[in-house]
Amino acid sequence: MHRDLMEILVCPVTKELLELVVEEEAGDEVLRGHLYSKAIDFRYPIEDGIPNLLPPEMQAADAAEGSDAGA
Amino acid sequence: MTEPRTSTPDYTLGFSEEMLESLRRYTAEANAGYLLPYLRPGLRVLDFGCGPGTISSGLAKAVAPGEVHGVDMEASQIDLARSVVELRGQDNATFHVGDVMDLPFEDGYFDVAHCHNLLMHVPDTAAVLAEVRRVLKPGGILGCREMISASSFTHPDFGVIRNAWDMFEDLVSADDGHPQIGKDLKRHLVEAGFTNVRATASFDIYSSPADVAFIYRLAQKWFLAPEITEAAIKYGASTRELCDAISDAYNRWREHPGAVCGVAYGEAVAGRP
Repeated sequence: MHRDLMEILVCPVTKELLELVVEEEAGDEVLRGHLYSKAIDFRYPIEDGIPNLLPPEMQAADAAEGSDAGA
Repeated sequence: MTEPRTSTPDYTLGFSEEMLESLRRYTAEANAGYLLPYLRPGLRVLDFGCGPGTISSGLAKAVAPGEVHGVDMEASQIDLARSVVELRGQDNATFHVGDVMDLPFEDGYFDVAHCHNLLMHVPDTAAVLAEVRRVLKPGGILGCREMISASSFTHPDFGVIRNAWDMFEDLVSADDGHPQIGKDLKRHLVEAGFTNVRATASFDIYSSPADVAFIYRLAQKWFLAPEITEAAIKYGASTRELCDAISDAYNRWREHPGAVCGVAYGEAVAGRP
């Protein structure tokens, strides 16, 4: 994810700007980290350069489904 | 004659045969032709429900150096979409895992929003259109193309293939989807506060030997896959005998010299006041 995206990405729930926390980057590309929504205290993960901006309850559902599929 | 085999993993440039076929078939020219005249270099486009990004890529070409942002809830689709634009050397398309009901973009960012076969799967049409309206600029436009399943056909039908479409419609409806929404776009857009709605319609027609093979494979995958037929039987949308009859009919259809399939679509372009 390019750092410039911070100017347009918002929390899907509150529509407020997000805080970028970088764990791994290459140039202006953020490869791993998260986007923090302060108002709802939620971290949207950035993995392999792709931010997951599904609302929190959908991320929880995905995680549950993923663990079922892997079982 | 060699049968096309999609069940065998067969990768070219990291894509499955199925994905390569999608790249060829699902293009902006073929699926968003009604919208292309409204695009020009520099515009910012949202492709909501972008799937594997094959149409997004064409939209990105039309508006370069303008940006295209694709959103899909399936991370696997977003991975594919990113590979598609990488393969084509495009740097103006970005993809995000997100929900079309709660888009992660600020208000009034986009000039154009586009979707294809998305509204048919989203239960609350008014809510998704309100969210798309939020991220469009005043004066921006929305283009959508959605299936009209009841007007679609497989010919010859052998007196039974229409039942497969009915089954498909029942299953989409069971998930609170809208298999006929293509003919209702004007109403939905007007009710969502869009103006200057221009509704058109078109068919995707499948007739060449490769087209017929493609539809046959789709039918195997969608209408005749065990998990689909089991679900249809369970929900009373079909019976074992009917599924077998449909399967036989598709085998005959594939060999028929007059085999054609038409998928009907409603399209609409509308303005955000």
